[in-house]
Amino acid sequence: MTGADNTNLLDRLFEQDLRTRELLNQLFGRFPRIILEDFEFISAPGERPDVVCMVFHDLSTGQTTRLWRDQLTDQLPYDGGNDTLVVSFVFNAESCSHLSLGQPLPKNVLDLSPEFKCQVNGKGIPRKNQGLIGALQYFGLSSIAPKRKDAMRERIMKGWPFTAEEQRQILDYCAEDVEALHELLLKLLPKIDLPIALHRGEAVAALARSEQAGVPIDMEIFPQLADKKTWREVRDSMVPLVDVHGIYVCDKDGWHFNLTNFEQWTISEGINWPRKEDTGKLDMRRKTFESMAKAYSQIEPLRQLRYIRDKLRTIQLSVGRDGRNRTVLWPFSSKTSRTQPKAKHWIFSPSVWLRFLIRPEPEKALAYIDYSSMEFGAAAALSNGHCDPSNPMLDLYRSGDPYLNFGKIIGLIPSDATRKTPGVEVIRDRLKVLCLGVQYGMQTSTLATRLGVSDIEAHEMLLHHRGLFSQYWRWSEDWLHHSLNTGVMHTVFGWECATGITEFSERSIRNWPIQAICADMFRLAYVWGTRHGLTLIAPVHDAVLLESPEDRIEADVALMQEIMRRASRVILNPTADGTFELRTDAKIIRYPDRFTDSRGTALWETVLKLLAERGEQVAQVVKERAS
Amino acid sequence: MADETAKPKLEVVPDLDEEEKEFRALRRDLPGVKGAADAGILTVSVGRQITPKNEFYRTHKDFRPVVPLVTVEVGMDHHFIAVMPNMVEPLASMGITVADHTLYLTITPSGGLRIIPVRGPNVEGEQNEWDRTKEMALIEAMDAWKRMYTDRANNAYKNFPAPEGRYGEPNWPDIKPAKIIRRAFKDKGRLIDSTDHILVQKWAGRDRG
Repeated sequence: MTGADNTNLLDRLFEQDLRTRELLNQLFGRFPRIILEDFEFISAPGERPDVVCMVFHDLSTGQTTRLWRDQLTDQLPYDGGNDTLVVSFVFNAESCSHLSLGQPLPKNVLDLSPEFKCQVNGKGIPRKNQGLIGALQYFGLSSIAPKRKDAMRERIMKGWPFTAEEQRQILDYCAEDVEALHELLLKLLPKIDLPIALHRGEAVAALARSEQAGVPIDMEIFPQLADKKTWREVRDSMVPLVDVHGIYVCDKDGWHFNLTNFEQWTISEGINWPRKEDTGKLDMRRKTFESMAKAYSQIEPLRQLRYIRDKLRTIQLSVGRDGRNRTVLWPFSSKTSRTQPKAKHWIFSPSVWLRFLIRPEPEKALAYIDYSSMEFGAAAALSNGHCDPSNPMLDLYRSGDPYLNFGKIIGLIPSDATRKTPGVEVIRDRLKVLCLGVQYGMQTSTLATRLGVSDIEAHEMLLHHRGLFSQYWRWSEDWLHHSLNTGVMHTVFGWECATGITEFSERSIRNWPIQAICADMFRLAYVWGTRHGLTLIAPVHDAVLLESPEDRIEADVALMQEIMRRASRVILNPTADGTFELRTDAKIIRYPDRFTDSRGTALWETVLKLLAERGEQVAQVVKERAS
Repeated sequence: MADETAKPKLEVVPDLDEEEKEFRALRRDLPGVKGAADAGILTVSVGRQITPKNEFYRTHKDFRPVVPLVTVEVGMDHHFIAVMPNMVEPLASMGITVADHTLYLTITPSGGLRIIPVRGPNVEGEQNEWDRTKEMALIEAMDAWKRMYTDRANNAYKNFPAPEGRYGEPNWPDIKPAKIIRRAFKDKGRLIDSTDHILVQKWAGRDRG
């Protein structure tokens, strides 16, 4: 490097520094008080955090305050009002700590975690390196040694009591994280869009309220399932009951999924199961099973049984002593910014039958409110006006059930049929697979396999889709090329993903805007509902679970549905006079009813039956011993 | 779960309008992606029929240039070679017949573009029946989706309409006619604009041989 280069570099660094200072001054102009905060807490599965200490640094005064648990009250230790901005990294942890102390949440939050994720999304940074240490390293900042951090976390998790020396060390460690926040804030500031970042902070806080509230679980049944011995017996006993086709075989080690039996069964059912291109063997991936189960309802019990056998060796739902399922929701975790709670701890996992454990508490009611055909509607709105004033996709959404009506247009469903007409529901479900699959590039052969039709029929269906929704296809094509040309994609609420580094897949790029805009919409509805005091206890992809006192549930559902409609209007219409909005459906569950899902009914009933039989056997043994 | 899917009554919530405005102000407009894919079009195919055969298609209403073409057999394929007017005479002197063709731009429901050249009538005003019916079919497809079949018994084409409402309006790429011609002929080396063209050299060499 020459001397001139060095001078230029120094100039540039100096300019960057000036720019950062200017931005910081602007931030102070908006918020006279900026607080950087961090908590240390003990977390146990399903329980609220047990706060150990808190450290916060006031950027305006330069003062750092260290508070041990006994110094914390149910009031924020600083003014958390309109003039204060609270900066944190993974604010859901801080929110839960505030809430478990009974403190109100600060009004304005800047969570640096989603801001960092937004900046590196699609740039190949592994998820494990997207934590605080990873973010500091990304910007070349010194950070706490990971080993020291692990050791400190380990000691904290061991729990009370802490010696005076340990207290000092933990407070020091917490203060180091706060110092690191300051450094990270300066690095991220030039790329932060403040209004959007504040919205994201509000979303994280809203989701933390859900984490804190938890989902009510039937505590008569759950402890039985959580008992390892009981579950092992139930898990084994259910195989012959669910697997009526004899696909599983039993040997000295227990039940095993037999591929030959499965292959024979698929042939006898006329199901053309997908095969791996390289080996020609059956494709047994979980995603393939999920997709095939949507097209062939007879596969669904087997899919769930297989999931139970492979993944659910123990029921590890995180349920607290108060009978609520709580787990970290991990907002902004996926590349489309959706939440990604850990499946084994979360009630809304792929084991649909487990959801029957959700049961409102006495005098409470739950409501499951979901967007109707959200991805279809979002795709229609995104491509609206792209090259033609008419938009059959939008018209089809507005007409009611888009999948049913698509079937009518292409002649697969009689024009006077409804979903209740015999045989129509199956075709409709397949058309749903078609519409959602081809939307992100599913090809003829895959579609043929998924729908159980010939390649020629699938080709014809694809042609119908492409021809009828040509505007969508044109938009999708343009989106793909634009994204690859510019190297970046973003949503209306500023969530970004780089392309061309790890994001090359055509399907993934076509699908990203739809999924990401749905995430924007859903998050907005969540924030909005929380602002109005609604108790939203779980985000479930395109649905929310709402909890209310029984006498208020209808009003709360009506308000949430209105909010969800408006959220879709804000996100899907480029101008304020746009009127397109998504519909919502609501199901209310009152005590003592429980949450149900038709996909899991059979398995749930089997589990209940087996639990009852086991209960009787145990009672018999007790009786015999007593006699 | 209670069987309660009826729409709940809406309550009037007065302050939602203000919040809607607040949230709307957060919108960052999506990039204008229109035309991004068109810019990447590197080729336009030219052929005697729609491909795949019997696919539904539409014909562009305005793109209808008349271009002198010569057809060359390459293996099983026919290549259409465009000829600049100044080259018609030299080619004729080599015994290469150049005929005026009307070029029709077609599109399939999946967005496949193809130029279908139709040979015009000869100096006596007579046109091959295949060409005449093909042109009729292509013109019919300017306003509706059609499917073309060969009717060998009558040495002509047949044209059938798509069911009404099955397909929306076609989305034509936003590229200029000159660029379409360039992608279809010049970029592939299928435009004879001077005696230096490899085909002319070949034909001249053949005559010499």
